[in-house]
Amino acid sequence: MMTKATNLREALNLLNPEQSLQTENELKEFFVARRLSPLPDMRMLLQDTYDKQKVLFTGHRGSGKSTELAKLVQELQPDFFVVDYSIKKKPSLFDLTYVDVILSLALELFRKATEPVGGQGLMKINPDVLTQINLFTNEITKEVELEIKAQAEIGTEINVKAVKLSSKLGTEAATRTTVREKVTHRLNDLLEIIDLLAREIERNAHKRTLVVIEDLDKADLETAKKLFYEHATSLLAPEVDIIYTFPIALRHDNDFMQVKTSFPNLYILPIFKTQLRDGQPNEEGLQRLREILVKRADASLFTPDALTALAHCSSGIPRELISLARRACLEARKSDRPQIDSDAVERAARSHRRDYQVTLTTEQLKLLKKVQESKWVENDEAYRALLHNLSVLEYQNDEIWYDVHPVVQPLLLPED
Amino acid sequence: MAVDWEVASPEVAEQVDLLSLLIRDTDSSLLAFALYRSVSEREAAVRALKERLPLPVVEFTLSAQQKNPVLLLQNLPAPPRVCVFFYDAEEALPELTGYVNLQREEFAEVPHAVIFWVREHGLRELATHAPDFWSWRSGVFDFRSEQIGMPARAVQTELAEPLYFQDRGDLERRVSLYQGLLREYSQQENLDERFLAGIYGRLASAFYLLGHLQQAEQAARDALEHSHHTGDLTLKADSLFMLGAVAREQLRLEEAENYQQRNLAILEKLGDEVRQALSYQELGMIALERQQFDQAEQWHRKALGIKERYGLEQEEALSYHRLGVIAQMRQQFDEAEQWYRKALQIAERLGLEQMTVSTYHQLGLLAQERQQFDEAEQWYRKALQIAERLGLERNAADQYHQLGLLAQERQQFDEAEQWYRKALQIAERLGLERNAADEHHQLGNIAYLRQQFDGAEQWYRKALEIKDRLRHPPLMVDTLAQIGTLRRKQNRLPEALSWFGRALVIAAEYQMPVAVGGQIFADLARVMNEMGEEEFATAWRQNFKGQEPPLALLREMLRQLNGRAD
Repeated sequence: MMTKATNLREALNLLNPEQSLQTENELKEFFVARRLSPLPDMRMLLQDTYDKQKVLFTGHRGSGKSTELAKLVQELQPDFFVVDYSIKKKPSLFDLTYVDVILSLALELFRKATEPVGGQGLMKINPDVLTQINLFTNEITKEVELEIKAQAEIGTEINVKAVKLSSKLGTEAATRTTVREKVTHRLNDLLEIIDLLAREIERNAHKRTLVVIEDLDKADLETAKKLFYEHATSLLAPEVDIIYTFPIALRHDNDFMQVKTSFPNLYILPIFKTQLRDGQPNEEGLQRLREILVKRADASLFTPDALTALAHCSSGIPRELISLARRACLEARKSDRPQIDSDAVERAARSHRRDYQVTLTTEQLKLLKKVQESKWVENDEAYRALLHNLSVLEYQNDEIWYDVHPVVQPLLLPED
Repeated sequence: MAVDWEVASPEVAEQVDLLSLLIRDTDSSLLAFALYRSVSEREAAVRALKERLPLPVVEFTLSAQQKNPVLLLQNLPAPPRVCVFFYDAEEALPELTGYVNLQREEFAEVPHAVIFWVREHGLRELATHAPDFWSWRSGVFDFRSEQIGMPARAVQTELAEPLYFQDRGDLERRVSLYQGLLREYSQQENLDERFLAGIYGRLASAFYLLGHLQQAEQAARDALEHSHHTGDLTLKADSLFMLGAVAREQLRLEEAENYQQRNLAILEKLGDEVRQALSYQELGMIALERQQFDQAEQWHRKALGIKERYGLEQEEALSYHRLGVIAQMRQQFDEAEQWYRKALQIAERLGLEQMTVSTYHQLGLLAQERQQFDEAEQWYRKALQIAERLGLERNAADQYHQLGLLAQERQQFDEAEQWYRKALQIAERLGLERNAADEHHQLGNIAYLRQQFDGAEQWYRKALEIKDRLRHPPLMVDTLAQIGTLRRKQNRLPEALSWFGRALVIAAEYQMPVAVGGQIFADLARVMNEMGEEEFATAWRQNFKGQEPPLALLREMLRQLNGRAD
């Protein structure tokens, strides 16, 4: 369990860009809400509508999507039977299809509905529904070796089968192909079973079923287009509430309007706004970013200037903030200083800038100069690449505008 | 001039301090990139870091064959936390970006500090095509410097040190380092041929120890060529030695002997006794391959004499080990054990882990010969544990093979098959044809024991095909005899006679141990019994160019077999 850091060494460990906030305690201790968060709207939509909703959710890389979703799930737990999983660990993202998405959803639902709940034993699901699930999984795995020992209870057997099949689908291309082919021909049967099971869950637990599929945003653009554009009907079909994450790059694609027609409930997690369009600092956004840091590490570990400088250099992206703070912490430790000061932050920012210097091409630097001046991006591949590598960021309040990452700006020398 | 691997500038030294501090002060998963321009810079930084790190460093070199770092990471036990260095990421592009980006959670789920050593191009590719993975970095540490003459200095330093390696990862890093040094040094002016011969020689040794024999041979040939230009006889002798060692491994025994004799001629002129001892040892191993036990022993004792005189304990252990192998092949098990124990004593005391693995393995074989199967298993498992920890795949494959034999002995055919398949996989990957042939043979035996005769024949035929390619007939004997047994089981007796006969002829020609020839003879006697003497004699003459079968000896064998049965 993470506890607030009281010295630089603890801070160095706590400021880990690889770890998002997931547990109840982490969210309670370290979560900072943002002003334009779509969370309240998403929660209201799911809680207050009778129809089963399909929601798309996206945001910049490192903007805190996983943390925000974890927070949403925590808030919805009393009203929803939540099935939350990462698609990356189920089928393979290398060759993902809509059939994989629906099948993974079904298997996760089967697994969650048939696992013991906090000492209360298994949920009492109608044996006919369980038999149907069992027959279906037997049929699609006829040619796949699952090595499952006979279980006394059919629910336990389904649970074991779902876990093993999920794992096999993730690691074995041959299994994926075989099972995918069988499911494609019986997709309607699978959707019917999902519907039956969701109703059983609602009858038993008095909760609606919400499935949160994370990491679909890591799929490449072509895969995402196929899923959300060409196979939208299938993704809309399961009779449960679903939150799909999706790649932000799709938003800048020409086919995006078509996607939006199929999925009208689309939410974008904004980054924290660190500056206004005219370049003036945005105190409200900076304050929230400072709050993220001082919730994790005691305020005495930072000089006030350093805190603000870190917030500014982060460009409003929480993971960038954590990364920079870790590097600054390291610089301070190396110099045997008790606090992270402006000098440590400057060194961290310089190191971060060098990463961009190595990775950006001369052509990209020229485009960045244009963005800096116009506060806008053209709808073409070259600009999308800049958004993709986070050297350009999208800000919004009443309107949307773009600017160059503050750490990168010193690389853009004035033209002769 | 005394030169060592020092980092080249205060800026780089600062980066070393920062990265080592980061690794030391963190307790959980950590991902960082180390940026370099030349392998000499990289090597200097790696050495400086290793000196400062409190964690063991595990090294992996990525390549076109080994593109997925996640698989390598998953094979590491956790805990304990270690520092993992991945080299040559560029060689694994573009697939590498897909692997790391889609499986980045695997890096967060282990406690290790993972550092990717990359050039600017590699860094750019990872940042652009694996952006999610890239965004998890705890920093990029810049070890680039502008040192003129760095490659030459690096080569000189490397050659001044003995070739010492810790494990497979270390050896792979050496290959990458030597190849990089050759590339970078070749672009300098006024090349020193001695440097080139020396580095090619090192490269050959590293390839040889990794089991990549073809590459080892090529590098040794390059070393030999450069040594001609220098007139340095020691470099020439070393190249010949390596070419001989590779030829012996590939069972080109005449060629191997020829190389060692040329090597010895030079060494005698130079009066370099220590190198002579190593060459005697090679000649001993060649004699052993030829089943010439007396001669093999003579060579090894000659080598041992020099090693003892010079106090080369590590090398002495190797001779004890080899003498043990000879005694074991002569069925002198007590003597063999004594030699092994002597070797083990030195290996354990000096921390020679690879030697320890080999000796545990031999003690396992010995226990197995004595029918002490549980003890044998314990030795193999001890050997396997170290081999797997060090990434010594070839040694690990040897243990898999023996554990397969033990499982087979215990009628646990599924388990045996799994062990053989694991061993086969490594043999095929490393191009170890002899080992691959053995695994095919054993998989044939498993199929035979399961009464799957068609399957068994396919495995045996594959084994024979490889053994035939190796052009060393004694290797074929067991497979020929096994096909004979299969034919007898299928009641195709004339064919059984033919297969057993071929095996017997080779066993006799190469004076293979009595036990081998005796077993084949016994099988032939049974075939004769089942066919009847007359039919047997006719078939024999047809198969062996009109020669008469040894009927009297076969009758005697049959009487003994029947007597035993009574």
